[in-house]
Amino acid sequence: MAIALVGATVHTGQGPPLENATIVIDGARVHAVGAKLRPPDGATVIDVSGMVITPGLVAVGTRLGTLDVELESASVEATLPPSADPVRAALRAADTWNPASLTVPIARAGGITSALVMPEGGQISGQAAWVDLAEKEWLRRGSAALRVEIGAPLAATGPPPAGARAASFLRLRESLADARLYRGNRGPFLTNKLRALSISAADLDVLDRALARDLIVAVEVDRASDILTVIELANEYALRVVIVGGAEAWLVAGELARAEIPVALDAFADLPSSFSALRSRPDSAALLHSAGVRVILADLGSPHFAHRLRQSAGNAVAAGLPYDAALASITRVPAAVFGIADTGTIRAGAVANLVVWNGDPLEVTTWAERMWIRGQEVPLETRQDLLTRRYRQ
Amino acid sequence: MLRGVTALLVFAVAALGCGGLASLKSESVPAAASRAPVEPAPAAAPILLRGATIMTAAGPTIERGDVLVRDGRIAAVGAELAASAGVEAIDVAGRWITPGIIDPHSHLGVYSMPATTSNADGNEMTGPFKPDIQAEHSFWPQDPAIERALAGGVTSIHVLPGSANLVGGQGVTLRLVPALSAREMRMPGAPTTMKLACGENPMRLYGQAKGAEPQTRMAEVALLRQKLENARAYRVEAGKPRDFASDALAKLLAGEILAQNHCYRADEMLVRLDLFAEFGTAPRAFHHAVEAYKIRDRLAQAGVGAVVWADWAGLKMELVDAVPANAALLDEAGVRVALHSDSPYDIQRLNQEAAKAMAAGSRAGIAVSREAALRWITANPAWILGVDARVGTLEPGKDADLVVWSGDPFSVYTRAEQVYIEGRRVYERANPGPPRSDFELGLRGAK
Repeated sequence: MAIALVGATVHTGQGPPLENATIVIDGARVHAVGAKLRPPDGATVIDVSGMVITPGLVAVGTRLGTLDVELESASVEATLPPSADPVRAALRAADTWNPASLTVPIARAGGITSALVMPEGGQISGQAAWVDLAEKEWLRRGSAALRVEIGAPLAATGPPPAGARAASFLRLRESLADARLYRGNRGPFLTNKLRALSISAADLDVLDRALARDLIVAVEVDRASDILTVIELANEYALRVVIVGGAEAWLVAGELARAEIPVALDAFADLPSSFSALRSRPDSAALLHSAGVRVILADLGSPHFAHRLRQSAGNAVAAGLPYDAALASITRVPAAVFGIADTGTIRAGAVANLVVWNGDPLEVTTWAERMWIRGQEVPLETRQDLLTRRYRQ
Repeated sequence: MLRGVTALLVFAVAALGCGGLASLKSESVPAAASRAPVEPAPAAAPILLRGATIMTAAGPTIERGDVLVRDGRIAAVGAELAASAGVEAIDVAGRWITPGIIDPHSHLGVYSMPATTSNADGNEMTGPFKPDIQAEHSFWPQDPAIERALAGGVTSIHVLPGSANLVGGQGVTLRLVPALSAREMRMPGAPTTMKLACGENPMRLYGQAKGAEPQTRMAEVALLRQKLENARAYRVEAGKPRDFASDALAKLLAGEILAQNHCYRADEMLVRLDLFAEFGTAPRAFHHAVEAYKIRDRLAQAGVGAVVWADWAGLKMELVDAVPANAALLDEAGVRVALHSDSPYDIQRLNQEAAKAMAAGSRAGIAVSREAALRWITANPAWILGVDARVGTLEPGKDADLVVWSGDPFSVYTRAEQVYIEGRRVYERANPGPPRSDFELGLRGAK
């Protein structure tokens, strides 16, 4: 049966917000949206007047749902130990996603309905999964991007070892060159009639998809000169690249815009935290946006902070990013960049992932009141709420 | 990207409580020469900030009010103050003014940026008891994070050693004035503090990492009890070399050094309260205190403060029961609660942390006034650090440490426009000038 949410201000992701609007949800999708639209006969009408509705927020580049407690290594599932092969393109974060992870309800309470979940570690870390934060049928795409990290630390924490950057590019170039050779010689390779290649057939098959432009390569990289090298590699191999992190991306904003490479920016990372990020600044998002780069705001720190995504967007606005661009950077842009159809906007035919807020969603004193994922209302109550209630009695 | 994890692993602090055993008179221990205060800078010229919405942290919000600053102190706060000759009037109509934010738990300068191996200068992980070491002596006044904190409206920070050790060393309260040493930044009259830690960090960094004591919480308590007992018996004797470690713990028991105790779990905080009670004292505050809401009546009764986060959760087992309404629940129960950053990122937005914690209270049905929420980042941390006679509110006689905000300080869109410490403008957003840190000279790049 259809549901009609009536009376809210709706940020559809296309054009200015609609006042006193109606959203009709039918099954998993939005059936209609419009100002003062009359709910269809027989629809369950839910009055949300005075509220604000946005598309569900998207957490990009997160380890959400792949761990429960960050510092309990036994609960960390998508990060291989340093001893593992640095090239592990065949690894799938989707295999480690757990909708019952302790991290998921807290993120949902922060308005997040979907995530691009990334594995971590190594130079070619594996494939990111696009999931909805639902209890069932969560997987939207098991292989939504291939994550590559430049200058990766090899231990769980701490600075990268000497030569990490050189090693990263070396292994990346070697892997890409081998994958290119493999492209036309899969049969000979599998029958041992080709020279030895540096990576496994399983990894080669995944890289092959990247060379075919069927798989986006998400490169986690901060330093401006490294980003230029990545642009070169993208040109050389005709890769579809997204920069993740991008502390110094603003310095090469023009080059990124020309190469049509989006940036998933670690929104709070404004400190010169490493020698690859000495020129970090709080207004990176605004600078990249005004240069014509598609900007995604992401929290690349611990997934225990995923709920702060909207706060990062609010701060980006304060630092000069237009409001619409900020909201788009956590809804529409990530869905468009990673090719997740019918997601990130509220329009007829779109997947009904949406959040009802009691005010401006980017404001820190506002909270999410209700949420629908794939047309199903999901509870926003967390263990935190239950604890608060227990101890307040 | 390891921003979040690194912050916790490295910074999460250990502190143990303040002592009050009067077996050792503080006068019996002469002050070390290095503790001498630096001569104060000459007073800034008087100013009158006019026409702002003023939140004093000491009373109701004043619409369209003025603040008169003279000799580095607040001379008057109110509506329509008269501008006398020689007073520079500054129009701040439409802006908001609050006291400068005080972060009661920071590792700026001891875990400086960039986060290199040699900038990891805040945990003396060579033994679990280091009461004689002082954060002040690791503090690097060129840490680029300091200027960002100032730009977030922070005027004072309490710098602590990390939480690897059961007793991590002495903390210091600094004002974020430009200086070449921590000593020049030290807030005059601020008590020395002692960082102590409970729980996972000492267990992880000794027992699990090194196979050394302590490996368990029970060993943590036993080891600390013995050290405190030794300190109780400590006396400075003529002809015997002074033992600065015992000296510091004795001062802690005497209440002269304030114990700031990193502790997450309710049960552990209760064990700590019992242990301190054996020595006739109590910690000044528990830091992190994520389960403080479970024992809020006990904390209120004991007069022990709680220093908490707005929305950290889950990073460690001892953070699993963190709730965003913690501060509101504590405030409601009458506990002196403060918000802290423990992070060079969160310190830039403590006003937003207060707003989030206030909103979490509302969402849970706990009414928190905006004035009370402001006290979580101003007056209450001042009390926890023992500097409330001097800073934390906008009242006549207090230091003129204040922030002029572009709007409501609890809005995500608001920015600190001007920051004053002792009446001197130390930050101006419209005119930031070259980087304050020598390290950043030539590194920021042009826009």
